[in-house]
Amino acid sequence: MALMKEAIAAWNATPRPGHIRSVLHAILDPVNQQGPFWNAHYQMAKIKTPIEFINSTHRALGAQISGKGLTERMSDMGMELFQRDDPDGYPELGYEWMDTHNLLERLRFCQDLAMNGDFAAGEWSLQDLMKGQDLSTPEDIIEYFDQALFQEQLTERRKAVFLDFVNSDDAGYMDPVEALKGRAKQRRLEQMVGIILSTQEFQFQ
Amino acid sequence: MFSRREFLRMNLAAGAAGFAVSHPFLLNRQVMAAQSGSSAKRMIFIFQRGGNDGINTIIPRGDKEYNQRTRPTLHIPETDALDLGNGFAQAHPRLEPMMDMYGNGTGSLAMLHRIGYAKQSRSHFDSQNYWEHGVPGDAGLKEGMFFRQLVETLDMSDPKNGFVAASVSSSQLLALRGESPFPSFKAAKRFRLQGNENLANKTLGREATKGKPVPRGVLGLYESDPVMMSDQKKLYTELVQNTGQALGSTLKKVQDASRCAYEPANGASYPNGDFGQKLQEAAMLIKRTDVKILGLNIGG
Repeated sequence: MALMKEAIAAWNATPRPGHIRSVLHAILDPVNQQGPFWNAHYQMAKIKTPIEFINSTHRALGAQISGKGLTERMSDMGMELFQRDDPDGYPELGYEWMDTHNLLERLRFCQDLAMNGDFAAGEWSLQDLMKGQDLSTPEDIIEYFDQALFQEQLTERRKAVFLDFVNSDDAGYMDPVEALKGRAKQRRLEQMVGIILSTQEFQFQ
Repeated sequence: MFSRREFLRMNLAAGAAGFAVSHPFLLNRQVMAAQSGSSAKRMIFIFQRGGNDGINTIIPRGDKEYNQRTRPTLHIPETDALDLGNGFAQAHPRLEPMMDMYGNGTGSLAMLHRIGYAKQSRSHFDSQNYWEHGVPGDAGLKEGMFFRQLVETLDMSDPKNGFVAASVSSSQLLALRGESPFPSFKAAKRFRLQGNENLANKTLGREATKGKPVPRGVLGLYESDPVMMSDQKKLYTELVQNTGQALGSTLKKVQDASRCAYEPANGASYPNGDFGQKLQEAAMLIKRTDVKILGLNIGG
C-alpha cells in the first residue's frame, strides 16, 4: 500500500498530473533499488494461474505442444479459455486458484507431462534434455531444475524428497535407480521430474 | 453442460432436491444445525449465478408497483400465477411442480424473496461476493461466510473436522473459502493421482508417517519448512502448504466414498452433463461421508 501511495503522489506531483515516467520511476526505483518493488519478500510470491502453470511446465521441460489437449487441461484447473462468466477477467489473486481440486489437477498435469502420459497436452524427451545439458545422475537433474526454475533456492529437505522418490519402487520400498536399466530407469527418472514440478515452490512465480 | 436456466427448469420439473437458499439467517440456522454432533442435518447450497428475474419467480402481487405499466412485456397476470396463500406473493406458473413441497406454506419448502442488504451495489459481481462472504460493502474480502462460521465454532485443527464442508466444483466457492482450505473437487472418480494405487500412494507420500525420517512425496513437498523464519513467509505460503496437506486427507476420503458405484436412491434420475453429475456426487457424499455442508455452483 505504501508503494501505491508513492505512485499516486508521483502521479500528482508533476504540473500536469499523470506523467507516466515519473510514476514508473516511483514504482521501480531504478537508481537506489530499495523500494518495495525490490523487496525479496514480494518475489516469487504470486500463485500461477492455470494458464501460467501450464505454460511454465512446458517451458521447464522444453515440451512440444501438439493437439488441443491443453485447453482441456486448463478447464480441468477451472480456467476456461474465453469462457469466464464475469466480465472482469480471470483473477490474479492466489486465493482464486489454490484449492484441493486445482492443486490435484496441477499435480496430475505434471505427472502426465513428465511421463509423456497425455500426448494431447504435449511431449518432451528426458534423454534429449540429459544429453543436451550433460546430465547423468538424478542429482544432476535436480541441480539442473534447481538452477533453471528456482534460482538455486531449493532446500536440502526438498531435494531429499526427490531423491527418496527416485530411489524407491512403486510401493515405496528402497530400490536405487542406479541399479535399474533402460526403460525402467528412464521411467523412474521421468517420475522424479514429475515430482520436482509438483513441489510447492513451483506454484509460485 | 446446461445453464442455470435449464437447471431451474429441470429441477422444477423433476422436483429434485436442491433449492438455492440465500438468506443469511436461514443459513445460520442451518449451519448451527449442521454442527450439533448428534444432528444428522446436512446442508447443500447451490449458487445459481447469472440473472434470474426474481420478481417474476416469486411475484410481489400485493405491491402496486408490480403492474402492466412497470413491466409492459414481463408482467404475469394474476390469474396465470400460482397463489402462495399469504395474501401477498404469487409464484411463477412454471414453479407448479414445487407446490406439493410447498404445501401452501406448511410444507418443507421455504421461499424467501425480496431479500437484500443496505446500500445495494449496482455491480452484479460485487453483489454475488456479498452474498457469499456476508459482508456487504467489502468487495475484496476473500473469506466466505460459511468458512468464518465454521472456523469460529469448530476446532479445525482436529482432523475429523477436515471434511465437514466441501464444494463439488472446479474451484473453491467463495462461501467456503478462507485461509485454511476446505476440500473442493469436481468429480470423485477423477479425484486421484495418476497410476495404480501403489504409485498414487507413493506420489502422495502416504507412508511418510510410518517411521521414515525423511518427508516423502507430495505431502513432504507441501510441509512447512521448519527452518523458514516467519518473516520469510509470503502471502500465499500457508495457503499452498495447507492445501497440499488437505489434499492428502481429502483424497483418501473421496476415494473411499466412491470406491463402489453409487446407485441413486428413491428413483432419482440425474440429468446427463456436468451439473447433473455434480448433484449425484453430492448425494453420494452426503450418504457416505460425514460432510455437513456441500456447495455447488451453476452458471447462468
